[in-house]
Amino acid sequence: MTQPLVEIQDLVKHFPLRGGWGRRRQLVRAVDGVSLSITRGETLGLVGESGSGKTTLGRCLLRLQEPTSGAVRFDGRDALALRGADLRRLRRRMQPVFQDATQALNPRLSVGGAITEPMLVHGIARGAVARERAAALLGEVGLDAQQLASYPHQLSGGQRQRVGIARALSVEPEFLVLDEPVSSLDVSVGAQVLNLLADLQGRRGLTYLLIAHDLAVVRYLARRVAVMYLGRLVELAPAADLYQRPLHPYTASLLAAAPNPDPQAPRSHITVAGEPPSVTAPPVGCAFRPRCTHPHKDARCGEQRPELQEVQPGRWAACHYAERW
Amino acid sequence: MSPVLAVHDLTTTFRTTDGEVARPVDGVSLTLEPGELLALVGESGCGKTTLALSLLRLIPEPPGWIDPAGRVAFGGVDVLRLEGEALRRVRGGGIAMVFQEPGASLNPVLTVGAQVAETVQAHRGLARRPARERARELLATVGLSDPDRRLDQYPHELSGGMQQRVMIAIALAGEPRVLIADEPTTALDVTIQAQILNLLTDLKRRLGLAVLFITHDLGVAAAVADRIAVMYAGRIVETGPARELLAHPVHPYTEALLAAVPRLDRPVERLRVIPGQPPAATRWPDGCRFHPRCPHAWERCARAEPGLLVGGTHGAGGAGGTDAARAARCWLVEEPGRRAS
Repeated sequence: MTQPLVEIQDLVKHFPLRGGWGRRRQLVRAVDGVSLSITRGETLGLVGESGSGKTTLGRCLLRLQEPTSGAVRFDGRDALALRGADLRRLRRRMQPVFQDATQALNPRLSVGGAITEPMLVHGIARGAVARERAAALLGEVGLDAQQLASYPHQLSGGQRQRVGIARALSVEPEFLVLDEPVSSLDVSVGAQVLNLLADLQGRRGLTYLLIAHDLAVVRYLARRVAVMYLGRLVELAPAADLYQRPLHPYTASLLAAAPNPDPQAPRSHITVAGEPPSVTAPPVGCAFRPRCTHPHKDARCGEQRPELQEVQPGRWAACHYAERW
Repeated sequence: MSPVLAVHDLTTTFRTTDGEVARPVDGVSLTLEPGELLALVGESGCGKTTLALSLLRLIPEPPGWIDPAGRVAFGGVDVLRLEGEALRRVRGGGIAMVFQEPGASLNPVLTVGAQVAETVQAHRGLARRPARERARELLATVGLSDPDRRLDQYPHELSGGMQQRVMIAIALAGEPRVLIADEPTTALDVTIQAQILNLLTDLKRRLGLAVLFITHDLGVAAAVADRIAVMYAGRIVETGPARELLAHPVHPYTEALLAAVPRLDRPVERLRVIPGQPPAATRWPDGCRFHPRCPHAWERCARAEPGLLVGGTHGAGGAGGTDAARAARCWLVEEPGRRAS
């Protein structure tokens, strides 16, 4: 087994909520003890609904946010201990691609400026060399070099996302955190961007953490999938296994709720009732218990929090009754 | 059964700030039966939201205007010709609307109860106390747990899913016969989306509501629609019973849209993409509006635009026979041999 490129151990990120009006100070446990690793060249899909903590996890990995506790190792080095020039060198190796390229791009910076800026910051190239590289990158993401002079508002959503990807690639990173890269795009445009991401990975040997709420999107790119609920991993498995037979009831209900344009698909959609509980006051025991439809659900689920365990070789689930699902 | 809403040749035009003329809705006709859910499916810029707003005359005039040749027949009147009080009674009273972002539609400083009751009072002239009682019933109708407590809560105390239920309750307050829902679940998580889709299906059945459901998501349309109309470049390009249309799309755009969706139920293979970009409403292409991106197009497609042609079945499948409800705006209906394999 090769050494993983990214290794996260027991990562925790809590946000204090200001009490206000005499209320007690509360903690939002956005990420509450997550461990996982990503092998070089693979895509790990991270699935969850809003508030599950998936975006915060990605931001902590990139050190856009300082975790409360836990460890992040990148290529064997302690990524959380790095400062100054070392941190800058690390940042060059891992780059984010955000959901909304409209917000991620500076509206006053041309496409050429957006792509060359990181090269300048990291001292990789400048002037004509940087511009030449930017033109080549645009070609690589399927845009015309003429677009270098365009401004973000002159581009379509899909073109902006391609510019966001070119900007991320400008410093030649090894690892990309893709946070909902296609969820604000139209279906036909999203398909183009997904194909592009697959091509880039093949061509450049990139490693991806693909954060998405759409299970079908994740399935398209990811070899392994992690499912997050209320700050914790509830399932981690090879994609093929997870989609064929989920071991955690939450994964099962996500799969059943996913819209599917198959006219033969059953039309009943209530697979899980209720809403996710409050992140400031998660239920005792299993956080999914109030919504769980597992036939073996019992008192134990309300008392003892299930830990993520290797239920079958390579398949992890945080459910007392994972194997009986 | 006769339709509760019949739209005929609706055209909405805008003058853009650059002085150009955009026609996001261009000669659209559709009908809606009581108790029927019609999904209007299309991508950004195809005109689906402008169509919905036009039905209720919510288009700002100027810069926009609705062509007087069109008709929106509802309850024996033409909505396009109503003014003042009569128009107000149709809005919300006859035809109600629910939008994508419930958080943006609710007033943050009023309780949920006050907002539902206000609408009840406006449409039914009830006094305060009965209006509040009716509001409580409506909250129960849309499946909100503990409606008594919800009445006194503020929007920010509710999740997105609950806020959308409140919006649906407000929409139902005027006892409409038609509900227009514009991407009502797009901002919601999948498990919550599933609950809202179920609620809409249930209301349709229970109240005999006719629902015009606008979505970009064919998967969502498959889950709720009785019929589907696919919109592209300001036109309806294909329409038919949901299951048939999804199983045997006739129009190459419908087919391409289906092929571009990553699927959970199929082996992972490279997504087929539609080449090029959708056209702008200021410059719809001549001929068939999809022909510049169509893999089957031949010279006829560039020259003349087909009407909604009836009788298309997809190749050998033929499950639909020649159902009059199925139509596609494509010359392949007349010349199926031209379909490139």
